[in-house]
Amino acid sequence: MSIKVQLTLRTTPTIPMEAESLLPENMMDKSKDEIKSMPLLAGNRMETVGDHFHVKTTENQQGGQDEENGLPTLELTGNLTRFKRLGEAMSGGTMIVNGSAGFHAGAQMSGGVLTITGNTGDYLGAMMTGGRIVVHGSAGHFTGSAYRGFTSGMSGGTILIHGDAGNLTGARMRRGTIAVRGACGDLAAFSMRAGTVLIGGVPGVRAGANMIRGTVILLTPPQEMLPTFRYNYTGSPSFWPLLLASLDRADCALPDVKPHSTFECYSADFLEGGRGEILLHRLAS
Amino acid sequence: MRVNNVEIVDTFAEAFPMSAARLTITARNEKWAMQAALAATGFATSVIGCGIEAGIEGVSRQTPDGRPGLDCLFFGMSRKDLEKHLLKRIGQAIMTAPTSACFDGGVLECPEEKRKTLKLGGKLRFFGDGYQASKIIAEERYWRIPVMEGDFLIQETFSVSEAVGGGNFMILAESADVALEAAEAAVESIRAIRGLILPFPGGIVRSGSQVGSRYAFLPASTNIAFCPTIRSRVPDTVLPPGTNSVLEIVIDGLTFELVAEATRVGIKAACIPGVLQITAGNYGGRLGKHHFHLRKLLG
Repeated sequence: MSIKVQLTLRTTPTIPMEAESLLPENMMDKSKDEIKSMPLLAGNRMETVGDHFHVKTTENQQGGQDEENGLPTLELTGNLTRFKRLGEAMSGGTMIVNGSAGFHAGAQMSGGVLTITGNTGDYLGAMMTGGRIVVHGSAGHFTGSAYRGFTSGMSGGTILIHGDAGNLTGARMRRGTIAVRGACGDLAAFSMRAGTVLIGGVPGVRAGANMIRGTVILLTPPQEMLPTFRYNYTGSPSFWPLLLASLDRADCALPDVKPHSTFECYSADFLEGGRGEILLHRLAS
Repeated sequence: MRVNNVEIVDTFAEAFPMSAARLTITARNEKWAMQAALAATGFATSVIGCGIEAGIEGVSRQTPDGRPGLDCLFFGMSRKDLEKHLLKRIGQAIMTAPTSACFDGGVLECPEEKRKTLKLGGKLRFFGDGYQASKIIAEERYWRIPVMEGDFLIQETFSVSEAVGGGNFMILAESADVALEAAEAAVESIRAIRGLILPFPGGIVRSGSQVGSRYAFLPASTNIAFCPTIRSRVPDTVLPPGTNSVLEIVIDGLTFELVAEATRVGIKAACIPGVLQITAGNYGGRLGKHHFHLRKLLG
């Protein structure tokens, strides 16, 4: 048996909220009143959780993963697009956002599962090191990327986006997996160090540009392949069935591809040594 | 004690600790999974001459890449020894087989405190000569080694655990035909149990050995006390009158309980008409810490 904390938004705020304190680990062993009195920065004014949310705590009879680590499940409901940094630096447990989230959701998280049923703003999972983010809507720019001034983006974990993603998705990432079922903006996996970026829909221009290592999987043909990408072979990469199965298990199935689908495989980007790879789904090509 | 009128000698089988790992070998189809598994587990009947004992445990219930696969068990005298031999066998027998891939099958039957890991893919990757690449999927690291056919996929680390090697029993029969029929029945019943292997050809040994020999260069020699053809020349023969053939079943298992269960069902199946006695090999308890008392198992 575990505890479930439900926060329901009263009214959508008109100014940005700093919501990094709303984490499963911060709800642990707290009473309803203690949760209500937790501070929440609204603009430059300190307010409380109770000022913005109805708080309800229930005992979750089903238990499950959260029972193992003792963390409560945190569920937020409402239009949270004004709430920045939801799930930032989360280290475990389960957090569910029933609605859309603002910028920096799940940024720098190291564990647990963050599920967002709506859309998210920019910097989703930026520089995260572990855990899993599932977005049922679309994500903004810089998903899983590095913050300005940093050389490495996400270095672990998984980001699954059922909708579309913006520009510079996976830029400078060095480990982990990003799967976008829909379309993706320009410069996906720009300058990536390692890891995997999968794009199901139409990719923007220059996907994989300046990549050093890692894998970019394109299930829909890009407008152009950069001249610094070089064709290697056509076949089924050995790890593909495992990756597909792991996405399937994470409730991010890709129905149009098969475990032994054929890909055109390129080395990329030769401006950076050509140690990365672009896999272009054969039907796509 | 008698089972189906076959005498069960009041003795025990003496087995010893070994290190064990389970490899799941997959391929495009059953044929090539079997080819790779046969090559990898070939010439691995006894640590005395082969350095390692191995066998195909059975068809994998589920494989990481969803392809047909076989689970194979490998037993070595130490973790280091096992690693040395596995690196050779994976490199020479599995990686070389078309379409193959190699995954850790896990040793979940063994107690958690006895489980450790071997870095096999992490060492074999250097065959890629700098072109190898890793991929982390669901928290697990895999190595992709480029080969002429495509790429060879292998998990970085494999589970290994302390296990039990050398469980045994011997079937003393009135003829070679009866001994073989009884041994085959025993093998068939034991093969239904997962978590163990019978490392000898078809699961049966005709040339059991004794420790040492009259030759200084030979550490093991034929088990003269059980050889019917020289019975009259061997003063300490243990063969009862009427015995004309003896076959042995050797069992390596992941746990004591698995070997005990295999011994029990194997002996029961082997007690057919024409079998005179079932006994077991031991060294007075000096060699191994695992003792399987036959009468206790069947009691």
